[in-house]
Amino acid sequence: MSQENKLNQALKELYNVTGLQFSLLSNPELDTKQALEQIKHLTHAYREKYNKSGFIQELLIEELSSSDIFYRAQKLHIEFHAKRAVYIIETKNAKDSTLLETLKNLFTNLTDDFIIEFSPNNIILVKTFYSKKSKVELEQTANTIVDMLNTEAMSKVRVGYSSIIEDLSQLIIAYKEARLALDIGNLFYTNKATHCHSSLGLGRIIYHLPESLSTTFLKEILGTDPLNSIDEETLTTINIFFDNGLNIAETARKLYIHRNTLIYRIEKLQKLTGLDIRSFDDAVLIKIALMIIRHLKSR
Amino acid sequence: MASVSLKNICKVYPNGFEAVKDFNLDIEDQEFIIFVGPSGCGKSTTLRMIAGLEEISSGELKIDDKLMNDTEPKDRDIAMVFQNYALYPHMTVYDNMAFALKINKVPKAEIEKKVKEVAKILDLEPLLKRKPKALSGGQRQRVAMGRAIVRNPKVFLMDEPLSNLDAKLRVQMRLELSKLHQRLNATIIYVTHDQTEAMTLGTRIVVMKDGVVQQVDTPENLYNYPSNLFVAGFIGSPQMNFLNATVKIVDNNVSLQVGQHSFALPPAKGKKLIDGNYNGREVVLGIRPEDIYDSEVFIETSPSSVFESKIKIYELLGSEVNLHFNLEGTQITAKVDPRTTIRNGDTARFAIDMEKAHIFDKETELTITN
Repeated sequence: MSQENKLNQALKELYNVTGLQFSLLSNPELDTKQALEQIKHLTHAYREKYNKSGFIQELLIEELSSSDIFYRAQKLHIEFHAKRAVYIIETKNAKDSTLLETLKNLFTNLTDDFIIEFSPNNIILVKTFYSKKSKVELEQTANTIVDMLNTEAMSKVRVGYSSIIEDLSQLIIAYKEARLALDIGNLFYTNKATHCHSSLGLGRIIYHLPESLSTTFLKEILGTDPLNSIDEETLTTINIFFDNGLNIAETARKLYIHRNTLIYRIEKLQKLTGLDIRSFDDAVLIKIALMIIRHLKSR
Repeated sequence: MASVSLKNICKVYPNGFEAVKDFNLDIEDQEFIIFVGPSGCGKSTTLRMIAGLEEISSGELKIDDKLMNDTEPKDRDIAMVFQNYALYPHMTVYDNMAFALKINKVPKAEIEKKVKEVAKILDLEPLLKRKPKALSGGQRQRVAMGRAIVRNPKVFLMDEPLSNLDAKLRVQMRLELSKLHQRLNATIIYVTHDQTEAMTLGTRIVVMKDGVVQQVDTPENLYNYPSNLFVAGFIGSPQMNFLNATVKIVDNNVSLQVGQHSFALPPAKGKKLIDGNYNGREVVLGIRPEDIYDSEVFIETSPSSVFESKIKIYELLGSEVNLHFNLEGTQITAKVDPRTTIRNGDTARFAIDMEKAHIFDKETELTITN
């Protein structure tokens, strides 16, 4: 086979692996042997990279034995023991090339970080951390992802991320953590764009309550038709009252209503539920009830 | 560049929380507008609504008279620089700036022209072949700005872009930004919680609190004529001193009684209190630290606003001295000449420049005398 045919063959293989099409230009100064070697190396590197991504994707969703993971990781030159975290990036369109290109170029540590198009709306980043300040970096990375995708790809995204894991066998746990963080965050903390599994607050408890227990609790607090018993106006009032630390004057000011109007609304709720949200204990019950309502409505 | 108009803009989250309430603003072409306010006041949310990264709950957003409420961010002809920016680590400065254009399939020659033009504006020409690791913090920041500028947008949106820099670099970058605005003649909307940044950069400043616009004005007017107690306290460092006072009007002479002390108001300010029927009512007297004098000359010429107090803290800041003391149970700060002989523990005499006094209604917290 001529050198030119060999080069074309190598480029075809590169295309099969990467999807990138190159055409051969005649250049008398080109060292064809060297070029052939370089294309082969590139193809090899990409193939390994794709194999690695496939392997990582498998680890995110399938439970494999530690020894199997260790063996396969070694074969693919992936460090088994390393501090890593999983970030799920939720977007309208995960196939948006600008978004993917931005992420790929931002996290270019080809051997240690992995970017996976996971579903039509989700991209996953598996990030390796080296420094001792990895917890700070963990949050910083989430903020950087959001700000960079906002400014560079001009895409609105939300990010859920796991805590730091110690080895590859925990990747499946990390993925579940990041997924949970995103689900709970999207449900209860809608004004935030990043959600960390280790700081989900009350949302974590409410999310895991069994439906039967939730409904029983709601009936106890709000009566027979709990999902429709509180009107929008009262709901807003309660939320703002909570946001302002149960402070009457501040809440009235923020709602642009007279103090007495606020007290009237609070007393109306008290008639309905028997609970006075000015008292801390009752406020806690209402707060939990409202979060449960939101959770049940989302189902 | 372009004008931006926000009419009755509101942002309500699903839990009922109103992050922005009835925001109205017309931003002229080439203005450098600053949104400033404490954390959670809605300034970033407003910027993100302009960017298209947050949905507008109600109201109208127009850029160059075109309604933009439902337009995708990438179709709004804007460019953004946010707090948590990062450079692409394996790319040179040139490639970092060219990246967005390459992805948008802009012809190579045009990319080169734009990047070189912007590099010249930002003094990045000698650094175009360097990678981010070989750049200083300030240079990296300039590259991040460059990435936005090469897009040649109608409007620049910046959200605390300097907040990750150290204090010295922030001052330097503030100057750079000011120069950049002059060179680009750009419309810039800039969010910060730092009032020094707001005062030094903005052609106009929007002060926000709890999602509500408190005042929109030039830096000078905000400082000299704050519209309410919040703006008066937020703008200025050290902040304005506030004293509860009772208005006394006798034969058209108006004075403010603060505990045992009585401070006479100049006729023009006094007239506003007479017209507003404030006799006997409580108000808040606001005095900027630099309007309290310790010099004998000033004290002699202002006998109706003199008081005495024991100095609790003497702070030498180099070009000025801050003296902290109590007046009728309220802590007061006076900014005086560094050559003052007053020290900790001294009992000193001061006089207030009542021409510069600000009087606020205690209930509405609105200014009465401006």
